[in-house]
Amino acid sequence: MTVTRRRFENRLSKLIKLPGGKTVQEAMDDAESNMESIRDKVLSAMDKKVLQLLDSAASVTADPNPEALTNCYNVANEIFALAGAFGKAQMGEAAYSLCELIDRSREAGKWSDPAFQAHMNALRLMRHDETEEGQEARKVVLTGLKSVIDAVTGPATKAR
Amino acid sequence: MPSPSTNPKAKINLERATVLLMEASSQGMDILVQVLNGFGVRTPLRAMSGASAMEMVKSHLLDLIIVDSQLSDMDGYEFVKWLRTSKIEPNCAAPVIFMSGHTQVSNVTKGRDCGASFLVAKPIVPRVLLDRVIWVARENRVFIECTTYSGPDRRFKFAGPPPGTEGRRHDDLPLEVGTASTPNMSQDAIDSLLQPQKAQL
Repeated sequence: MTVTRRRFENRLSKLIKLPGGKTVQEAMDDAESNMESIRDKVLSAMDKKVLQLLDSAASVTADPNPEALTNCYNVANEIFALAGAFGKAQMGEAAYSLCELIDRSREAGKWSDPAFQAHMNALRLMRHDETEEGQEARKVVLTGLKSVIDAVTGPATKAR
Repeated sequence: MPSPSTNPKAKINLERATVLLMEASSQGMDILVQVLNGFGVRTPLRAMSGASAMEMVKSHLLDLIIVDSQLSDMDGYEFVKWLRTSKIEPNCAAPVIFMSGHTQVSNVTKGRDCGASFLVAKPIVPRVLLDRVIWVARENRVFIECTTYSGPDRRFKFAGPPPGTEGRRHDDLPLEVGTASTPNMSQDAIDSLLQPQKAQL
């Protein structure tokens, strides 16, 4: 096998050192404050995606079609990214767990509607209860989701 | 808090950098644009599909590409693979930061082999993303092209071949230092290598 090794100029490394600009701390502070400016807009869009996911759950039956599952997976993955960016970690974890369930079920060739519905209920809970007092209970629910996935697909295997 | 590898008082200038952002979700794109604007990037290019990103690769000189694993018409892995083998120079070797939320089991090897410079896990955290931008700006890895892989050299730790193996490349060195095969250098030769330099304060 022929392997070619070439060195290209990294222009970014020259540009980043040009006079002017801002300090690393200023750059991080500005990025965080810019993110805050779109927080409400993004979280409202995320809530719509959660509702969309809950609505679509009805169409995912005991024998779901691959297209419906891919759609659920993509929406859940998006919810995970948006929730996590704005500190909604538990909502993000529930959405991530749904991605994990769908992916591992596809890999294992198994499907459990109750496991899917458990995730839908968890998402409903995360959406309705954001109280400080409910945090521990939500944590227990999230731990339970992991056990549910393991029960359906077997323990997670090493990435291939 | 910045990461230990980045001095918070160090200056960075991204005003003149041409950055292409690729993200299928409009909210995800909003977040990226706000974060990159905060870093000082003036007008990042935006593409929600692989097709429009390919057009931008052909028409702009790019300094950094940030790509999500899910695009509207293809996955991000396919795009990076296309970029690395496109022969569109110098963009084919531009630094690529690859973002991924949940990674499907079937995509783990694709992530390793697509040719991205760095993989970043979502959700986006400004501190982490800035750290990676600075990291890819500092690095200058050799660009490898062969039938199975095109992209920056994935061996950037230089830890030698795996223990118990001789390595597959002609320049692989064993981890253990063997007996010297040439005479020691003279003190004069060593001194000539260590030339005093002015310290810049």
